[in-house]
Amino acid sequence: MCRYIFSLLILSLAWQLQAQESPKPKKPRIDTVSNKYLPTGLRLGIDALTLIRSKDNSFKGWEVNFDTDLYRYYVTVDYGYWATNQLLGNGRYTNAGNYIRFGADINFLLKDPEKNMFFLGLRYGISSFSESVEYNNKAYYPGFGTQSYYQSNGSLSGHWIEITTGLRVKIVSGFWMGATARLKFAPSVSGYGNLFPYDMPGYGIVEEAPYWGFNYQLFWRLPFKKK
Amino acid sequence: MTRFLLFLMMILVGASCFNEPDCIVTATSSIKIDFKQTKTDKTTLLKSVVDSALILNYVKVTGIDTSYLKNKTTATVTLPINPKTNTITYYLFRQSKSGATSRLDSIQFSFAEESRVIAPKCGAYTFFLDLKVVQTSFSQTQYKITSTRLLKNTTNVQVYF
Repeated sequence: MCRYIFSLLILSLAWQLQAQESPKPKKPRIDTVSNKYLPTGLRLGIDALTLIRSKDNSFKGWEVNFDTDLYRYYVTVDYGYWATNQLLGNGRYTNAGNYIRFGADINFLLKDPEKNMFFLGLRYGISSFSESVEYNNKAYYPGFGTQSYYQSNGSLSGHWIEITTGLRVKIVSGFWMGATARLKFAPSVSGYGNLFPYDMPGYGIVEEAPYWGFNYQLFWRLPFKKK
Repeated sequence: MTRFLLFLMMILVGASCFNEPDCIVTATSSIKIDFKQTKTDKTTLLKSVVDSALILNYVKVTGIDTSYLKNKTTATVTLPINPKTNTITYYLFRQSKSGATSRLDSIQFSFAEESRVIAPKCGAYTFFLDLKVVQTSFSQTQYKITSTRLLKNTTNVQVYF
């Protein structure tokens, strides 16, 4: 249900942004003839939610985001680190690894002079990580006792695909705030042994597909040339 | 200001969208065996598989000194595996329905294991899989592995009498 409320919020904000454009008497001059596919700047961002989650002892991580405009398209790259140390009902699970996502967004607010965005995009994510778990299990027959297990995967690699949507809104000159919702699917992990991969950095719970993700991002834009 | 409030709302809604995993544990360290027989309808000549209740004098399991089951009439048994090993042997001493004859059958299974974290609240569990019959007194046509994964309420083997 919350995904529909979220979609409505995004659409309402996008509509509001477009509505704000219409009463402006002067339309910005956009060169649509020459060099329209040349990037005009690089936006650098950080994910605030990941940093906030890192305050908790069970999660450490960070994520940086880059995008650059090519007319209505934005080429994006996200790079991050994610490590968890989770207390389980019967043991402990830890993992750590890096991930990278790259893809492109289509901006539906092309003519917005402030480079606000309401976008839809596609990402391909790659993760490299390790994980381990220790836990106890009671046997079906009590006479066989309780077993202690330790299992680990030293070097795993995985990938997945995401459909993304979200907003970037200019707050002050050179500074944008943005939110990105991610519908992640088709996860695949290779290189594991007796421990089935659980939490893939950048993706989440491997056994769950699709899996939702959410970022709240702060962006700074470096223009390639001054107006 | 309106934009900022909308952003705050989005954060709150987004935070509530985090996935909450289900806590359903299906792993078990036991093998479920069903006893079956094939019956032929005399008029239609159609064959059907039905449950076959056996009179089990006792069932022994390697690693357990005493009999695991004694004097039970049943069409299904759930027998434990020893999680410390990767094979288990069951000895089934059964009686004919008339009670006139008795017979000892044995069946040895091998299996592999895989650890899975279900969810932090539920914990991690060992799943036993890749169930195989290593040795048995039953003929090859007398048994059928229906599920190679050891899961709760799932029949792993059907034995035909």
